[in-house]
Amino acid sequence: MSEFPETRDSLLVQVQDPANRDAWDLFARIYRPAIVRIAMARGLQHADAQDLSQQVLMAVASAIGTWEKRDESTRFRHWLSRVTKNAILNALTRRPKDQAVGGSSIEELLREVVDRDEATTTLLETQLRRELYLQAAEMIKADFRPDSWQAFELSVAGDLTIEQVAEQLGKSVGAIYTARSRIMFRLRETIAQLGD
Amino acid sequence: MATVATEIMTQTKQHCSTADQLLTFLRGQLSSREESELQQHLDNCVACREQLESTAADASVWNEAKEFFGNGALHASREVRAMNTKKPIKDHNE
Repeated sequence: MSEFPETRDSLLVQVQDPANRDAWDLFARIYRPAIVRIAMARGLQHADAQDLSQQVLMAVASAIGTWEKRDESTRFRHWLSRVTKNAILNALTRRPKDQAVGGSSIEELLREVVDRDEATTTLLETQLRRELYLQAAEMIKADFRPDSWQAFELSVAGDLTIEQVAEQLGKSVGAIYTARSRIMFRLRETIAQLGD
Repeated sequence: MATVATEIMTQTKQHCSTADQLLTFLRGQLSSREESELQQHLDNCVACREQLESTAADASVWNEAKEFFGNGALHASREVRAMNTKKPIKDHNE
């Protein structure tokens, strides 16, 4: 069974409930590694990048509690997505690369980003998408037979053709198409729940 | 008189599935007999393979999966993934 919290709401809606620790943990599992990767791509050491990710997540967590009063006209998930991206961009752009981590206040991190750094914004979008895919894959893997998963992995992530994968695994071509399409179908559904 | 190729194409076409059937197949909700028949059909029918894959996900999702899952990413831990960062991008303030 996948470990998605039991509700039809997307993750970005579920984290609105402060009592839903599972949703927040899942949110942090996706965003933390993405933030660390982006920070390291901007030249931070790994430990500093970890600190920065913690700082951003704390700022976002504190902002969630004040959302209703602050911005009732915006849908929560859109608002949360924007706030998180702003916090990451602020954390990265307000700190000179050689300065120790820990200087930005929560208010500074949550400030609306006016002048977006295009390269960093693109990197941020890509890293978040990457973590969504990897997290979704982790969540659904146990729901499929190992040979189905292997067919998916070899045919999607590897350089082999479908025919070569079928031959390597001793399966029919139809079986490989079946396995990879079913897994992709579930993956897409799970990504939508995590990211929309 | 129909050629052999035409007969094969006609037979294949006869067994092609509807979009709804493919969706049911992806969800694993066909009967085991129907499922087995469709899987055999996929051995030979390029059109149904393409239809099945596009029903499962858009081409952009397949492409992103290929990009994100490559280089053993599905086996790497989060820490390794975070460490495995490409060279720093140029800072605008530099």
